[in-house]
Amino acid sequence: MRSLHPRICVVWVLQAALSAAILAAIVGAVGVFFLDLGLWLPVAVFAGLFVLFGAHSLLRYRVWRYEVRDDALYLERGVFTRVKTVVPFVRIQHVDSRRSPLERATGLASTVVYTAGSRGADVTVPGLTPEGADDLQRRLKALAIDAEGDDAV
Amino acid sequence: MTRLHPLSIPYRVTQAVLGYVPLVFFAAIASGPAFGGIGIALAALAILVGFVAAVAWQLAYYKRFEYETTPDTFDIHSGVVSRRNREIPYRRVQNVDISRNVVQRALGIAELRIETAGGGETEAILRYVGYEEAKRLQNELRRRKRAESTTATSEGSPADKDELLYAITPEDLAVLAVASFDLRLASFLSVLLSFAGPPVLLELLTDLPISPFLVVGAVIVLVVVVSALLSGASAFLSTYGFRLTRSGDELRYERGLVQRFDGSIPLDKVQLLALRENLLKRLLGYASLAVETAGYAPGQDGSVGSESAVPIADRETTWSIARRIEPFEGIEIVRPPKRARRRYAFRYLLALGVLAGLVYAGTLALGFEMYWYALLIGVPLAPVAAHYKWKSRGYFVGEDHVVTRTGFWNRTTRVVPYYRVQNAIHTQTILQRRWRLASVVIDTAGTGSLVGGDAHAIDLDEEDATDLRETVADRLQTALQKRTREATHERRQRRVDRALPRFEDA
Repeated sequence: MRSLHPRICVVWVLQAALSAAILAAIVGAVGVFFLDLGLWLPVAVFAGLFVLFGAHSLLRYRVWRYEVRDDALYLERGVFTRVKTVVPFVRIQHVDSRRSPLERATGLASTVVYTAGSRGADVTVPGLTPEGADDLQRRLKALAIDAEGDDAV
Repeated sequence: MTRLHPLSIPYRVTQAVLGYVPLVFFAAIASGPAFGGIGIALAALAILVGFVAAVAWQLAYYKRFEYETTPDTFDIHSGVVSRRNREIPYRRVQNVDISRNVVQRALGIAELRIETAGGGETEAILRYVGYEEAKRLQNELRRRKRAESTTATSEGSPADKDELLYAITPEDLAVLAVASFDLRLASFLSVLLSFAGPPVLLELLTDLPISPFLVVGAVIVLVVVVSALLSGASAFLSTYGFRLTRSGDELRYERGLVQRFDGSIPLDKVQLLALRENLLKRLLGYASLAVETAGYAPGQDGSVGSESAVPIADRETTWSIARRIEPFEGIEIVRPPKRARRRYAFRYLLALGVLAGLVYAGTLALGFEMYWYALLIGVPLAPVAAHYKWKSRGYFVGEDHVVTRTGFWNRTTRVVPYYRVQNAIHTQTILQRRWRLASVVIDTAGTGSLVGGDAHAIDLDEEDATDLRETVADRLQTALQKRTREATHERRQRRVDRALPRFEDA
């Protein structure tokens, strides 16, 4: 079992700050323009939400685990609802490696695995170093080709 | 090169004109006062011009539409102004469906649809060919497809013969009409009524000397009866004369009274079997069977009635047909642990409590007695409901298949062969963690999965859930290895068969 790169916490905390800021801005706009409340409201909302979301991000990091097994990719994640997924290599349709702006800024990357299944249609492994993501992509690809089934459907 | 059926021209012209005339008619009426007699003359002229244009266009369409069966592909050349040549490799053909409505049946023509894997869009539609020709094409395409996939072993192999699996009897049809009562329709009607109802009711109530509760009660009964009649009639019309046959590696079905459908389900694309037994069907001893294939489920577009292999039959027949499609052994459903039952009872009691609290709060707020304590009648029912919910859930790990069961009102038993599993997802909500329970979704590439049709084992013991997840993933590997081995063996066998005659000649 491997956990994600610790720096993913930075990405998630920044994302948490961003969504907290957006929500606080909406609440603040309503408060200032319609209810004549002071600026303390958005600040308080931001602080509260940021603490909540930030804590969630940290918990998320602590829960996230993945493992490349002999014949399947195994993932464990979720703070409230814990989800454990087994993705057999035979079922992999294609593998992407992806970098969002925040990830590029922090020097991280994600790998996305696609299957024909209707639910686990895309399984994302975030918080990898770019080399790690490329490596995982290459390994999964090789394993998926090795494990050739009849038509992956 | 073959053309469509000549009768398709008048049929399509009529279709086009019928779509166009009301438009002109309404335009003429709307502008009537402004133009007087000229308006009507203009409308008549417009209809005439439209008719001539439709005839000309359809003639051109007919002239420019040709299809042919080449050795490897089915080719269609079409298009009046911009031409399109489409070649469909036989290998890729998944279903060939024929449908005919009453008029088309009287004219002896049919619509033919060719579906390829990947679902969504129909690859080719022939509007319209003669019924005989449609049948011939359906058989021809299937034969060629099979010949390609098995590299031509023997022509008239026994697999070519059609074998009747099931034909609906009038009794079955009657049961279906009763059992297909759909609550969704009733709720849809009530939504409609709740918009239109109140104003009408108010009008009536001022005149009528009856209690409003009686009127509301009568309306509810009426809604239920009407929706039961409607859903029964729709089920009757769409499944009348249902026949399911097996021919080689395909299931073929025919159904419909007014609109006749004739389609096929490729067995090698079957992802999961769903045996549905709602409460009514269970009481009557009936069951129905739906087959999900990758990318395409029969009856998917437009036709409401059945997306099923067996719309209704007595339990034994349905299960035995299911076993012939996917040979699964006797299943012994393992129920969730007993504490799950306690969990459901708590959940129901909690919901009841919250509801009673809300009603009580409403009483206080509105100063209007709403009998919140009437809800307490539900308290002794909660454990009973919990028991039945618990009883109707479970899973079974078989030799080649994994089976899950859910639902008391709509009990569905889903059978998934291991080699069709896409991935196994184990979920545990925060509440389930407190009870040490977990659920497992066995994901396949079936189409019904989009509306939550996946095989779902709910509220297992944590350890059992982990076991199930790992077992399913492991058995997928062994099942695939077995299939690969069998396939290579078969291929080798075929090569030997082909080689033998040469030795005999020599």
